[in-house]
Parts: sequence; C-alpha cells; structure tokens
Amino acid sequence: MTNHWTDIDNASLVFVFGANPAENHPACFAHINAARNGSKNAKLVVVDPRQTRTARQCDPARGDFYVRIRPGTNIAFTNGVLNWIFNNAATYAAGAAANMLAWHNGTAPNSLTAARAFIDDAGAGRTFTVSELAGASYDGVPTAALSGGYPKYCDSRFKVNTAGDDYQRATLTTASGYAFGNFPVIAASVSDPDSVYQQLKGHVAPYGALAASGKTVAADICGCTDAEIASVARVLIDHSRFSSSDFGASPSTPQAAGYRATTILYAMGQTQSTVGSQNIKDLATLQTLMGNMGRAGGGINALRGIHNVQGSTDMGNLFDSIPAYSANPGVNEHYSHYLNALFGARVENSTIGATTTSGAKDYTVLANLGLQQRGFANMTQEWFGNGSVTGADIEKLYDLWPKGNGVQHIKTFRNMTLPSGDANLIKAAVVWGQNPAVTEPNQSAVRAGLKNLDTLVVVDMFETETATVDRKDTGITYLIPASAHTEEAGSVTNSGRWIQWRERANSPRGNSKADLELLLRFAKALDTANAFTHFSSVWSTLTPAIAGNVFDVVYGKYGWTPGTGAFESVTATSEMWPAGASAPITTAVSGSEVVAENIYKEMCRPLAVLADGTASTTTGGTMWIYSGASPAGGWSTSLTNYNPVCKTSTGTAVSWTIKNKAKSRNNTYTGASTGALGDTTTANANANNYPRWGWSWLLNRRVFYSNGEIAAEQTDNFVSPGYVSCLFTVNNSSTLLADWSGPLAYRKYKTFADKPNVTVAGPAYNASSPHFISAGKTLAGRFAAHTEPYESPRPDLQASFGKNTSNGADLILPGTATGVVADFPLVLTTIRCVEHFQGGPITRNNPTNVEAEPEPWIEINPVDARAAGISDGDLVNVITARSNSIGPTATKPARTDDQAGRSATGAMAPAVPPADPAHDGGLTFTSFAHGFRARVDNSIADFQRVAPGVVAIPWHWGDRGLSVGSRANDLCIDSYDANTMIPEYKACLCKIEKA
Amino acid sequence: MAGNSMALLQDVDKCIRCNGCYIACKRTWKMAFGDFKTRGQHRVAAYQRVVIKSMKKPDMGPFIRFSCWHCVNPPCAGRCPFNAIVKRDNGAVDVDMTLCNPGGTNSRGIKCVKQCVTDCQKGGYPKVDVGNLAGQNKAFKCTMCYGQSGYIKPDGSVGGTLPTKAKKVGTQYQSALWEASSPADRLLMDQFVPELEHLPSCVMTCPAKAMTWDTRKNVLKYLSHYNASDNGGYYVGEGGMFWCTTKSGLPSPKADPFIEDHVAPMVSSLMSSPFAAAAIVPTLVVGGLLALSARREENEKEASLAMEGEV
Repeated sequence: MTNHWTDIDNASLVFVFGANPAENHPACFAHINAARNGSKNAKLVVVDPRQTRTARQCDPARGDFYVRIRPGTNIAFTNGVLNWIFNNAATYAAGAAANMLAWHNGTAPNSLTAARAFIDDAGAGRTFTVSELAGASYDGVPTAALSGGYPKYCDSRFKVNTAGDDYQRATLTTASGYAFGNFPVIAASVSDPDSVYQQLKGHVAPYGALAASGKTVAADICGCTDAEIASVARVLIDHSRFSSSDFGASPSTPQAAGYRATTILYAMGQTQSTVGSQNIKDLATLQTLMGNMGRAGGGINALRGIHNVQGSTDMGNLFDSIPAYSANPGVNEHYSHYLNALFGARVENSTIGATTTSGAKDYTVLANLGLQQRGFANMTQEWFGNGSVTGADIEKLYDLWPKGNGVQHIKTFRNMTLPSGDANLIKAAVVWGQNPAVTEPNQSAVRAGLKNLDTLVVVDMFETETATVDRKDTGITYLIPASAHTEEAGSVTNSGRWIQWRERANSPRGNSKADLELLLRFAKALDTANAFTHFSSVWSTLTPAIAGNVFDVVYGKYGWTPGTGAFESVTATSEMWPAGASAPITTAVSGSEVVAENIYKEMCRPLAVLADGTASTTTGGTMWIYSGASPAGGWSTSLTNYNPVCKTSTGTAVSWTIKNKAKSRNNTYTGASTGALGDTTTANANANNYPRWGWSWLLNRRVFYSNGEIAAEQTDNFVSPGYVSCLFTVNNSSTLLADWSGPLAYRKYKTFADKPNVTVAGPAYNASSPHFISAGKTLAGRFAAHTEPYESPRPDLQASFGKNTSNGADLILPGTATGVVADFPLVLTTIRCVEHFQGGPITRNNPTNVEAEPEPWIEINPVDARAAGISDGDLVNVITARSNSIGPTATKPARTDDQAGRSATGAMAPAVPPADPAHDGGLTFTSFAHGFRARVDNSIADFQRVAPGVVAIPWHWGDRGLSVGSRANDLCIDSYDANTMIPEYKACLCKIEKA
Repeated sequence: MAGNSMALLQDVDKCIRCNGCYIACKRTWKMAFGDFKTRGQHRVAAYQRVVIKSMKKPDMGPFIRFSCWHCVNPPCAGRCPFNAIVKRDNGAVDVDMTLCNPGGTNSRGIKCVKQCVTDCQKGGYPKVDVGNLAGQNKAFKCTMCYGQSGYIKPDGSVGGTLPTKAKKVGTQYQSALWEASSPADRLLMDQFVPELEHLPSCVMTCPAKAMTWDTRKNVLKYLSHYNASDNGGYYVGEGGMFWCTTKSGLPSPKADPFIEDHVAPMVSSLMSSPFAAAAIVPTLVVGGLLALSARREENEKEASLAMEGEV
C-alpha cells in the first residue's frame, strides 16, 4: 500500500478492482464504511469478473456501481478508461481537464519544485533551484522547459526516444555551468508529441478503436459495454486531484467538503495473471495520471492476504531477493558492483572495484554508504560476522553470502523430479507454514515432485495435505509441530506497512514450538554438523580474526542457545503497551518475547548505532526500511519527537514513550496538521493518520510520495531516478543506472521482462498495432498492453494481442497440459470465502469455520447450468486439460490411502478423519474429491455472481482436516507472471458435468 | 439490575456477512457444533443465537440480522409454566437457568411443552429453543450477552464482563450514536452510558462496524430519521433489537431465513408487524407455509432429540 488502511476513510471514491474486501478483508470494510457514511459520502465502484459481496455493497441510489469484466482482461479495461479520459475529459469536465493539463505542464501551483538535488558530472551534489534551471540548456541549446522548476510529480513531460526504450537524453547544463550528462530531456509541455503523456495517449488509443462487434476494442476484450468504461472514467475524473476543491494547494485539505481522492484497492484479481505486474503498473499509471498519488485517501493499495504478507515481502522470502527489497548478490558479482545497484550513494565507476575518481565513494567505509547499501553492509556484518569487521575485510564477509537466484516456486517442484545426478535436482524440502499440496497449481506436477523427495520436512500446526502427501518408499517425511501465531511474540507488518508488535497470548501448546525456537534449533544442529565451517575459514583470514563457535557468534546474540535450558524459560525485562492503556509499562517477558525483540532490535535500530543507542562505524540496523538513517527508526533509545510533527494542542512535541515503536499504541493523536493532534475538524488535518500507532516504514511515513502536501506527514518524494513517478518504463540497459539523481536518491531503474509473443495486432481491429506506442516503437513492458491468458476463450484475441512472455520465453513450463476453447468452453476462476483461510489447515480444522462453510462449491450462471443439466445443489465435476475433480483414483486418493502401509516404517500415522457424526455430519467420505456443490445463480442477471461462460470455485479445500473437498489446484494452470512468477490462478479453461 | 434499557442495532447497509458475530457468539457461549452438511441453516438453542442471512437468494445481500427481538412484551415469556423467561430491566429477554425445566411439570401441574418455542414466531421462526449446552438441557436464546456481565451463565456461574471498544471521555463511556447525532437530537439522548462498559460479543467483533450497542432511547432517536422524508429507508424492531437500512427500492425482507433457504423464489414477503406474531401466517404463500411446517417438524424432532440428550 502506498497509503494505509485507516487512510481509506479519507477517500471520496473507493475503486475496488480485482479484490473482494467484503469477504477477504472484512476489517477493511470498517474504513470503507467510514468513507461512505462520513462527510465525504464516498462512492464505491467495483470492477470484477464476479459479482462479489463487495460488488453487492454498491448502492445505485448513491451512485455506486459494479462492472463485470472477463477474467484476465484488466489491462484492456484500464487502458480503455485511460483512453476515454484522454479523449473526453475536456468535454465531460472542462475545469478538471484544464487542471489536469496544468498539473502535468507544470503551470499549476505546487506542481514544480526547486529543491531537487542531482549529482553533476564532477560528482558534486547540486540543487536545481529556479535560478539554476532558468538558464539551463540541453547540449548547449537553451531550454525554457525547466524555467519554473523541476517537475515534482511524474515524467509526463519527459521525451521518449525513437526506439521507444528510453527517454531522450542530453547533457543538461545549468546556469552556473554544472553539467549533467545523459539527463532526460524534458519538453515544455505535454503537447510535445514525444512526451510520455502523448506517447501514453497514443498507446491506449487502439483500445478505443471500434472492434468487429461494434464496441470499442477495450469493451470487446472485457465483455463489458462502452458505457461502463465511460462511467468508470467519469467517476475517476470526478474524484481526482483535478476535481478537488484544494487543487494546487499545499498543504492539501482532506477534511474539506470538496476534497476528492480515489483509493484503488486491489488484490489477487490483479496479481494472479501472466500480466500481474503489468496490471499493477497500469493502475499506478492511472493513479499517477489522475494526480491521486501522495494524496490522503488516494494511492494504490494492495490488500494483502495475510496479516504479515507485507512483512514477509519486506523480509525477501522470495527466490530472487534478500531482506529489504535487495536483489540476491550475483554469482561472481563484485561487492562494489552489487552495492552500486542498491539505493544509496554511487560507489563504483566504470571499473569494478574502482572507488576514487569521478565522485564515486569508497565502499569499504560504511559511513559513505546510503540507506539500502548501509543496511546490506550491516546484514553482512551481523549475519556473516560479529559486527565489527573494518575496511576491505567486509568483502570477505560478502563472499559468504549465497550468490545467484534460487528457483521460482513452480519450477521448484519440477526440479524435484529431475534425473539423478542433475545439478538442479532438489532432494530435500523444508515446507514451513505452507501447504503446497493444496495451494500450488497443476497439483499432479507438484505432487510428483513432493513424492520424489528424499526428505520432506513440514513445519505446521496441523497434519496438512503436504505432510501426508504420497511419498516414494524410501522418502522420509518429518512433521514438526509449530505453535500458533497467538503462541509467540514478534513483529508483523500489515498491508499499510505498519509494523506492529504481536503479543503472545498463550504458551505453545503441547510439544509445539515457537518458530524462533525451531529456527535456532535448526541453526544449532547445522552448526554441530559442521555446516558452517566456511564461516570459520573466512573468519581466520580477517584482521583481527573472528574467534569462537559460529553459532555462538551469529545466533547466540539473540538470547537463547539450544541445550542451555528451555526456550520459553528465557527471561528479561521489557516494555509492553497493555491494551487500552495510554502509556507503556515495564514488565517481565519470556521466551519468544525476549528473542523476537532481540532480533527486532537488530533489524530496526538506526543504521549506524547499536541496540543500546551508542554509535557504531561497522554495523547498525540490518533492515534499512525499518531502521532509517536517524533515530526515526522502528527501534531507538531516543524517544524524542521527530517527523511527522506530532504535537499537543499547546504545541508540545509528543514523545514516543517507547523504544520499540512497533509496540506503540497511542491512538490519541490521529494526525492533524496544525494545532492539536486529534483535530478532526481542521480542513487540512489528515485525521486518519495515527502517527503514533505502531510504526510505518519508511521513517514512519503513513502516506508515500506526499511531496510535503499532507500536513503532519513526513515530507516525501517519489523514490525513483529523477524523483518522479514513472508512467514510462525505461528498458535501455545502458542507462539503467541513473547516476544523475543524488546524493541519496541514486537508484537503479526497475525494468520489466514482459513482451507479448506477437508484434503486430491482428486485422480484427482498426489499429496499426496495440503493442506499438506509435509507429516503429516496440513495447516490452514500457506501457501496459493487453495480452490474453495462456488458456483463453478468445482465440481471435490471442492471435491479435498474443500471450505474454518473459522477453520471448513462454510463461509456462514444459509438460503442463493446456486446452482450447473448443474442448473447454468455460473460463475457470478461483475465489476465496470469508470462512476459510488460504490452503485451509487452520480453518478446515476449526469446527466453527467448517460448520459455516462445510464444502467447496462452484458458482455457475444459470445458462451454463441448464446446458449441463446441473441444478442448484448438484455435485459438479470440473474438468480441465490438467485434471478433474472426482477422479481418476490416481488423483483422488481415499482419505487414508496416502499413508497406507507407512506406519510400519514409523514415519507417520494415517490421518483418520473423525468418525464422530457431529464432525462429519453423518456423511461417509469414501473420497475427499466428490466434486463441487453447484450454486446456480438466480436467473435475473442483476443477481448473477458469474457471467455466462465463467465458473468460480474456492481453492481452500484438500484431503485432510475436518472438512475435505475437491482441490481447485488439481485443475488450475501453472502459467505465471513474467516478473513475479505468481501463477495464473484467475483464468484457465474448463468444462463442467454433473458428478 | 437497574440502569438503562439497552438495544442492539444492525445497520444493514454496512453489514458484509463476514460471520464474525455468529462465530464470536458461539465462542462466547461455548456453543455446540451443528451438522456440517447443512450449510447456513438457521438453528437456535445450543448451536447459535445470531445469524446473518441474505435477503436475496444468491447470498449476496443485503444482509440482515436474525436473533431474538427482545420484545417489549415477549410472547415466549408469557406461557412459561416456570416463569423462567423474563424481560430484564436492561431490555434483555433472558432465561433464568435456575427455573427453566423443559418438559417438567410445575407446582400447579402444568407440563412444559416448550410453548416458548411455539409462541416465538415473530418473523416466522423461533429465536428460543431447547438444547443441551454445557451439560444442561435448557431453553437458550440471545441474552444481549448479559449473562457474561452479571447474570448467570448456562452452567450456573456468573460470567465476567466482556471487553469494550466504546469511547471513554474521562471516566465515562460515551455513546457513539450520541456523538454521531445532531445537537438537537443530542438533547433527547443519553451521552454517557455505563452499560457500554461491556459490548455484546457480536457488537464487539463486528469488523464492518455495522452493529451498535446503545440505550434503546438513543437507538430509537437515531432510527427516527429512517423515513421517507428524512434519511429514507426504514427500520424494523421495537424491543431491544433493531435493524435499519436506507436503501430504497429494496424488496421487503423475508424474515424467515429457513424459508429463504428452501423456498425460492419467494413471491410474498414477510414484513411482520412488531406486535402481532400470529399475523404472519396469512402473508405466507403456500410454499412458505410448507416450509414453515417443515421447520416446525424439524424443531420438534430436534427438540425431542434434545430431550433424549442426543443433540
């Protein structure tokens, strides 16, 4: 989220596109309800293939509405909306359209800045003041384009080059003669045909062309009407910065009656697609263009599926990243080269390892490093050393980092079945708090992989489908009992980037263990088995050498060593903030409360200090996003007030009162701007900010990119090369490193791998090509372009718009069966329900949840149900090219078959479902897979959950637990996104028959 | 227990049917689990006391609360041979577990035939039923959670207070409805409500903040704006449980979720008069009658099973 949950209260339009918060994020609805029922009288607009309960919250009498689109067509819809705005805004709302142009042209108040600093070619930081820019020239030609200041918002005036892969670039020379080579050329106005604004307008124009169906291309692709696209475009104009009563004002006035801002809420409906990243980029483009970024009640907001998904992303739990959004160091990549690509200072010149010329800083001096770089150096010091290594010795510690990327998770299971001896063969897996035998698509490939593992370790609260998966005779499965999240303390980070301390409510039950205890036990066992000898051999070469046992140095500092007493018996004194209290107390803590806080201190203390607040030149906070460069981090011994300004009505600064900011529970101060905090009446109060509740990264910013426009919010700018939001994605490898932003905003461009597998649009549309931004300029993810899902019900569109690829490589692995619409006429999309959670171990073992939603179902349009002879309540077999829902036996083991005969090996007792009729409801399950219970929609179109040609099934079920049922992921396709590798759970082809 | 007469209010326009209230209620009262194969079927007594049902068949809303109405003059209470069902001062219609004796015979020789269940037909179905909970075979119903805050629990013990999220001004709990009301309305409302010290578990848990717990006086004042000339919409309720909506053009609710589940489409609606439970029957179409009678049979069957201790 660029904004956060409570900020939704500030919105005047809640635009839900690809999410279902009513069922999947119920708590969020308090904020949506607050926006709708408060003074803003916010509208609710929902775009979704399925008429969800969220969609049904729309009240036409209030101007709310719902638009149904075909699964996998989000980009076509968004581009259709963009096209409508570009072409019709002036007619529809002249004032707003004029404001929009003024904003992007830099002629509106507060659309320019004179405060941006860049590094000139001599390596010195220079601020772009108005007087410096007034006399500026590009390659010696004077330009007036920058005379009023530098754009503070987005790159709409930047010029795109002929190849379409980069901005036009030239040497910018300012009034004092400071030269900035390779600087983007900025046009005087967005009327310039080369400007990003005009290029984007040209890119989306084909979506407004007429298709053979008589509708526009966008409506034809989406299966909606042109009127619906226009309705969304209109309401977005009405609820943009440009229609707001405070247009051009700084600070903004979120409490004013005429304040307008659109918040976009999205979730898996956007991400689970072969164009997932592009879907999000398109929404970001829309919000940037409409001025909704950096606004209270605006932004683009991902609704995360679990309370700590943001935290797990922060921790880099992906195959291609390490904590705090840093990429994995590359194989044979030099330390300085790696650092140079991180957010911070320029530490490398053209020669790898060179440090001393043209302004590059000495990377071996930690004080020279910028935020992300220093965090990485601190991680290297703390995780591979003792936190005190000096000078070039840190390069030796850097060598201890694992190098290169792991394997993306779909391929992981394929690599488990590689021939013996293959270097990529995966022989063992530790599955910690996941249930891939339910949650991963194309289960037959997943299960074949799990079956072939020599060792499978499952760490879970319950005996999951993964723990009981069919295994080869020589394979050994371990199930290690994990405690519940309520049985361990620690920090979690919610969707809004708020880090909050989660208290331990109970001690771990039975023999279950806190995750931290298990991790430390694993580390100790590995140490004992001599797995860390490579540490010792490097440490002996350091000056001075690091002495001691590796576990003791690297893990012992967290406060517990296995074999020295019970984990839960570790005690200490710490601060706690009791529920409802107005201040923290100091109290005795134990077990995970102690160890988790020790780790938290390491992550969140300022980048250049130790946990006790003393300065350090060799180490500091390891998570740069949590720690910050000043006391303004998640852990600080300094309790002094700092930004955002937080004062009492008498102007006294409000202390944090607690070192661990994640524990802060001060809800007195809501985040007003001037005068009293807690002020909910002053127009420019952002009364929903709560700057002293928990702590939000970065630097406690609750709303990103505010540019100083939100009073009481930390001033922020777009954290990208050039300090602007990028509508256009650069993909020119020679300029990926943007060394013209600085001194701290030095940053690598983010690129995308997307490339449609066709380059010319089909003849069906009266457009030169939807994949060209203009004649001759090819697109590979520069602007979002529609491509069809890998299994598409529209072969004509798949021919003209193509499928997405990763720079030409198919986004599906060999061996996955795919079907065509002639055989599989329906689109299958997967959904979630409020009663069950993810892969189901927690909720399908909870009788209350099972009682409320006992079995998986399928939502069918009455047209399709009638055609298949299916009535409401029938069991339905869903068939895809991969599998079906009721058999054959190989994919449908009886509930106890998986472990038949295995108890003799001592591996695991069969999981026998409870025979108690009170649990099984009197049903005798001979098999878990008896199909999906039909929910046939009402024949009145307004009440139909899914459109004709679309069916929806939940994916929470499997073959273990109190409630068992057909697995959706036996059916789903494992094509995946080009950048994030998330599977395309939301669209594949199927057919249905009565089971 | 002296004090304010309290009421529960559900704002239909805010409810998303997350089932939080239903689960919180079950947890608070440690209720039993029903038959897993009958999704969404409304049950009372030992299984549930509040349920959220859709007014329209596809289960997409609007969602309304079904639970005891806490009638001003509760018909269930009037026929109890043991006088076990009482209308408390605080507004709750409560069952005194020390008196309730299902199937028993009172001192005057009158046998309990669970007339409370039969007479509680407001909305077309009973909100009180006999079942076995915590080892006791008694009549159970929504008590506004007062059993947790001073009244006896099913096992005879007295529960502690439930938590609250109510706003505290100084040392007093302030009414949210009062805070949301106009100055003119406020003059006629209670600002500070000691009973906000605890919230019924359904209100406490409601993530969409669709449920409110306040004095009946405040609720009625707040609801007085739900009319065509003011907010629009309407409200239902007269005792201690209300729901309201501002939606226009909304079909009148079918009050019996059992009927909604099993008879579709329901042509007629069941806007029951607050005072005349018996008046419902004539409004039923044939299907509804069949369903109602099926429901009664079901109730009787369950009740008899309960008597034998099998439920």
